[in-house]
Amino acid sequence: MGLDFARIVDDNQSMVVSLAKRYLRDPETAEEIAQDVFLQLYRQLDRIQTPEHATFWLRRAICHRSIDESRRRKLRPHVGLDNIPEAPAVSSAPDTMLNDRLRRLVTALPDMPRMIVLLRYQEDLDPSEIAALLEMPVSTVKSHLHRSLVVLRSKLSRAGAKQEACL
Amino acid sequence: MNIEDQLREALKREPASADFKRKVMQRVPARNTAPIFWWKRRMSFALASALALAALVPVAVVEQRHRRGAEAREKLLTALRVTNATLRHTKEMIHRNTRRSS
Repeated sequence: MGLDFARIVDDNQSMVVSLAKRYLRDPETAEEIAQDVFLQLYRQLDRIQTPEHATFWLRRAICHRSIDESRRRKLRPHVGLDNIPEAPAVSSAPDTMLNDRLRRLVTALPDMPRMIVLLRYQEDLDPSEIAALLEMPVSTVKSHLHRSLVVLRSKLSRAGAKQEACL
Repeated sequence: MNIEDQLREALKREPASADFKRKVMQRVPARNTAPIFWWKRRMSFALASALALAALVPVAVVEQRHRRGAEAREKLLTALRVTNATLRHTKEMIHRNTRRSS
């Protein structure tokens, strides 16, 4: 066995757990699935050639497992892009407040746009990389990203206006 | 800061829980326990060899018996042929001597 599995867990646990938690919105299930994905990798470790290959494999696996889990458990009813709830404007520091709002808005996105936004802005992947990972056309990825940004921007400015009105 | 930068900032990876790695490693099967693994493999190999040997020995014994039987039958047939020829020859000699004496 060429690769150090413990090292792979160290290097990738944050990525795998963050993706699963933010996508599934259920920390316990997310952690369980993240563990399963690492165990799945362990069973196939002899086919993994480099640490980068392991990262690529884990990212792909956690995306698909999370999507499958979300579909299977139907954790939430389908929410259209236009039905995203307004972010509550409650927090302490301004940066933290903005980040919290954004995270909540992203969390409220429908399944596929949410995964695409996470892969784009958490994992810093290009639309072509996201398209390859999720097995969909690049144009679809770009379209989801564009629509998500429009909606997020709009909801964020509305929430900001509400907060200013309160002050 | 535009919304894309804000998203990058907001969606930075969260650290996994402190015991996440420990939980994963606990669930990893004992694949690294090489001595037990090899010992088990050797045992399996020895068992398979013993079974193969146990199956082959009776086959070899039967084969050997069969070959011996065939050899014995061949020898018996040869002996019968020789006896037959000898008897025929003796019979002819007796016949000839009887004719001469009469």
